[in-house]
Amino acid sequence: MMHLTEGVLQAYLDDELAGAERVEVEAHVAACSACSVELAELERASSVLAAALGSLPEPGVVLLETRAGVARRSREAVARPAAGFGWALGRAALLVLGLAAAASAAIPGSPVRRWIVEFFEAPPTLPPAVEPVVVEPPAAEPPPPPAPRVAAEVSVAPAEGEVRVVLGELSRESHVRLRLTDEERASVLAYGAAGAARFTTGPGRIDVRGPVAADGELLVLLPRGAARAALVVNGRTYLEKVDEAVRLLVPATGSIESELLFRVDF
Amino acid sequence: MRYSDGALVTSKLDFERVFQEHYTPLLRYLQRLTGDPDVSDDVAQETFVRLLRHAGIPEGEVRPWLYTVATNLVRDAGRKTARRKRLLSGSPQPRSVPALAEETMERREEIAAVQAALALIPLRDRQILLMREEGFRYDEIGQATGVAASSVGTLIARALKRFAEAYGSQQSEGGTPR
Repeated sequence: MMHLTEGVLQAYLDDELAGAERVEVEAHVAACSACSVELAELERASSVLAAALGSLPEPGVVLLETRAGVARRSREAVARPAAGFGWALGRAALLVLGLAAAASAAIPGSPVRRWIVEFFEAPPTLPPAVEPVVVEPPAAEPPPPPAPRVAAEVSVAPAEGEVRVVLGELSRESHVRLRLTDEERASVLAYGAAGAARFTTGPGRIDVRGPVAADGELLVLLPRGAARAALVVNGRTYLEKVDEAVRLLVPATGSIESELLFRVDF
Repeated sequence: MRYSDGALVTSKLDFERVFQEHYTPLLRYLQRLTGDPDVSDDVAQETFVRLLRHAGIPEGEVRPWLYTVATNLVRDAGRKTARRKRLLSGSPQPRSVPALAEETMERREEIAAVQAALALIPLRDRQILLMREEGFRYDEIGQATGVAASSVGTLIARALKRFAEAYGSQQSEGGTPR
């Protein structure tokens, strides 16, 4: 018996099949235990994803936290309208709208609604009379952090499809960041105190030995294309990749965009 | 792709309606995609600013257009701005975790586990899974990702398995989501 592809089964689950094809799939699944198992597996994976995403906070929480940022952005945008950054006002005002969208719907004469009208009728030229829509008095902004500096960087190509990054003698509370990259080479970048570490490389391998103090940070880039890849920290395997399977053996303490954050705790 | 209504976003009222309808879902998509509220804020705002400059888009095409532009911005500009600044500024924690100070430790760990699992799978996997969660059909996902609609089911199935595996590896440590 020919089995159905996972794509067809997924399309069936997502109600993407036309009537006749849907009936065919149902008949096949009823008679084929392998496809029935595959369908159940896909259904389970969908449920896992839906439940996981449902546990994440909704954007409204974050919007409320951006009030101080709104004030700052509005002020900066108005202060720099002729500096070749014309869309900055739009960005600031859009964030205001994000905060006040519901309010503007309820209050037809609100300043936000008027701003939408004015801006939309004359994009991207800035309306001269626009006042910054400040939600609350702007707080004094702290000075920006000093520009980051890469203290050390090494990279190697996988050897026979395998690459291994081994970090040792890292202090407790030091930080390791990990990203799977589309680059062909594995890399380790050291920031701050991590620059004092000793780097050695061999075929398909990078070794970094401490000391890496608590305020040090290492960024590890592992190539997705490597058949096998691993990150080992203080003798413990954090991540293992074999072909398409990626196993995280130590839970990350957080993530930023596509990077996982680990705080070394032993 | 053309949509049946063919209406254009040509008036201030249209834009306002589009904004109110799509801003929050787009922001939710971006937060899930990036795991970073700052990057999400930046990208969502810039996406709508760009929409202002493309006011002739048929309203039926606005939604996939927004998500395509936003994803491209995440891929390009977002990586180089807010994330990089905070990544290397000495701040050890992503904002998303301390921002939930009122949440229990268990819940914060659960959120971190989901974000970590999402970060472990390729961006395109995240894009198609999250667009699907937002209710996009296969033809729209295919249009946004540059693949044939007939291949989207396969891509979704494989991405689902990769996510489930990554998420499972988070849960296997200690028996609870982390």
